[in-house]
Amino acid sequence: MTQFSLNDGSVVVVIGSGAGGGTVADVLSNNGVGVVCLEAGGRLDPADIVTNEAEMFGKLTWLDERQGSGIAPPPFPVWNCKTVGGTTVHWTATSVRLSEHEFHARSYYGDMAGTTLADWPLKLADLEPWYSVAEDRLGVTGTHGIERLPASNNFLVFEAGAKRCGYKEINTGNLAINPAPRDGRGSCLQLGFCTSGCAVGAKWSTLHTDIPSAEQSGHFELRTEAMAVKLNHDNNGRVTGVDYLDSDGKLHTQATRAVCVAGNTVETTRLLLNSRSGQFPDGLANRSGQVGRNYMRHVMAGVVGVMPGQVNLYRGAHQAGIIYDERHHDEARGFSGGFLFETVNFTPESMARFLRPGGWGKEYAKLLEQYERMAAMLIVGEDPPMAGNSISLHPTRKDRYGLPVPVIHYEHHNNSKKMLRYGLDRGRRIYEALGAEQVVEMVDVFPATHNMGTARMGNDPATSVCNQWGQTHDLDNLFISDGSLFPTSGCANPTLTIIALALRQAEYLTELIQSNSL
Amino acid sequence: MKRRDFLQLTVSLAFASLGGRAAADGGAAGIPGDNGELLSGVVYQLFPHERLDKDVYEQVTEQLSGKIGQSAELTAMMDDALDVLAGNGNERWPELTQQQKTASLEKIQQTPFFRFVLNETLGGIYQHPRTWELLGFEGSSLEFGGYINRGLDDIDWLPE
Repeated sequence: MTQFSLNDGSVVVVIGSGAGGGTVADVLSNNGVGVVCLEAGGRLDPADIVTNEAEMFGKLTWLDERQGSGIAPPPFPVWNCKTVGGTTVHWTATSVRLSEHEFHARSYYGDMAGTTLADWPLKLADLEPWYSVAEDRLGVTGTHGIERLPASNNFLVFEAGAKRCGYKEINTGNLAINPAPRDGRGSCLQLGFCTSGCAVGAKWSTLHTDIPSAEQSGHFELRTEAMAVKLNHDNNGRVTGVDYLDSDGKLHTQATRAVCVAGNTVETTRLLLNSRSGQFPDGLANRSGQVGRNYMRHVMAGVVGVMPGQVNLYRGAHQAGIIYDERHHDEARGFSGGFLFETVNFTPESMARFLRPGGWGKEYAKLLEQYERMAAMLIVGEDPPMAGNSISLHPTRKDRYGLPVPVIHYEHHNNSKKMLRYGLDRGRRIYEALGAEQVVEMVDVFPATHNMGTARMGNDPATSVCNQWGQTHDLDNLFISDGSLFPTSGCANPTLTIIALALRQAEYLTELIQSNSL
Repeated sequence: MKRRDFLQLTVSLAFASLGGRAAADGGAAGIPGDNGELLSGVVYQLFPHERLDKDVYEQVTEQLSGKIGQSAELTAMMDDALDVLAGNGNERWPELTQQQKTASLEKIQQTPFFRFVLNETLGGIYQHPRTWELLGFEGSSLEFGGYINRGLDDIDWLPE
């Protein structure tokens, strides 16, 4: 295995090995650029991934303290992973492109009071080629001639109800899950444990693909249980090194030519804020004051229908079902932006936790006894950026690394509340159209899984943190490579867009390095 | 560890903190006497499934007792909470009516101790294979080749 010395300043340090970091690292290293990847978590072997939700939750999840406020669940505001592969080990693999209007939210939606709505500094056409490469790398169903996944019971209920409600564009989705063996990965057996890691490797994850590919390049070193704590810079506006703690808590500094930060928004933000200095008193790359602001997590809610017959929603890939009809922008619905309906699975435990959080007693137990007749879907919609929705550092509390605990604050904009109400009503109708005996709405109960916006791209350094390549305005050799970049959230699950941006960034960065302009 | 820290930790470990599996490891010291009986009654009342084997509740109670017994902090919190329940009337817990039991629990449901017990009980019960059997959840299918040929799309009641 390739190893780089700590004082080798020719390497690019990539922080995080998930969707953004794993992708950037793979492309750079295969382009011949030396990469040191710092991953805070450990590396699971294929045999470590088992079909047991509780066990995998413990193995995968980022469990260091975080605090939520507003509607972000206080003790557990964000559900992401600390492991090689990052949250791509846990994700549900939905891989839908953003729509044209979602790149120009400010222009389409106008002046929405209370928001910091902005247009992206790039348009769909700029990203289309990269979306296509990303879909091919991931093996996204419904693209590149890849068939879609088969229908599950939960999907068949969703589809039948949706058709009765007049919806037209309904299928098992665009998922990075192999219906048939492809690219060294096996095919989906419909285990129903997507969020616990895929035990057969049919679901794309950087753990199975990009990291091994980078390792084969001969230009890549992965350091696991390596927690980045600070970025150092010189007086010329360049990052010079990354301080990180190893598994024994020992501090090291890796010299670097450029840094790509991909810590899944919360950690990316925390690292920038923790790297404040005399030159950057509010945090590194934060002359705009926008680092940590404009945090988005999607309008997200669940609808559970108790159906007239058995559904057994636990069988099969979680999100192999999407209704696309409501994704457009249409002010006639009473709100801006759109949303997707997506099927979702719950085990008995997660159903008991989320159906009515804090619920107990005879009536609740009776409701849970209807488990095998339950069908479930999520509403995933665009939430506008707001300055007050933020990730900040707790003034006094420290986690086990001695780092200030991140505080995640999130409130709904009125637009989101209207979208939520509309979406929940439409979701309810889908199940009622088939004679649902009871429909339960799950509102403001989930920890965030889609984290975006806190280091957003833009053309104006006064109102954004990065340019269209994810390069920070303030430091030429500092790049952000995760969902923090999104100026607006769109309504599609963010991973595919994170990967498309990361691919584009990695080629740009390679060019800068190979032409010696960085 | 401060009480608030402890609760935050236990809640954030929601899924991972406890398992039906772990129950089989046996608990540490149980809670003796009336408090033990009360706790066992509370565990049942939280998720009362009439058709679920009482062994499941006993295992969950035993494990919960073990955790409480190991923490002076939790033991003190439990004593406070159970005092409220016991002081509810002259009758012992098993003799209370269903309605009285629910009303008693409602009095303590905002306490950190209740939330701790609820969280642990929920995990213990709904991770238990016997509960899965009752609810019709078949769990892991990896060893049988997944659900792809085992009922993925066997629904038979949808209208044409």
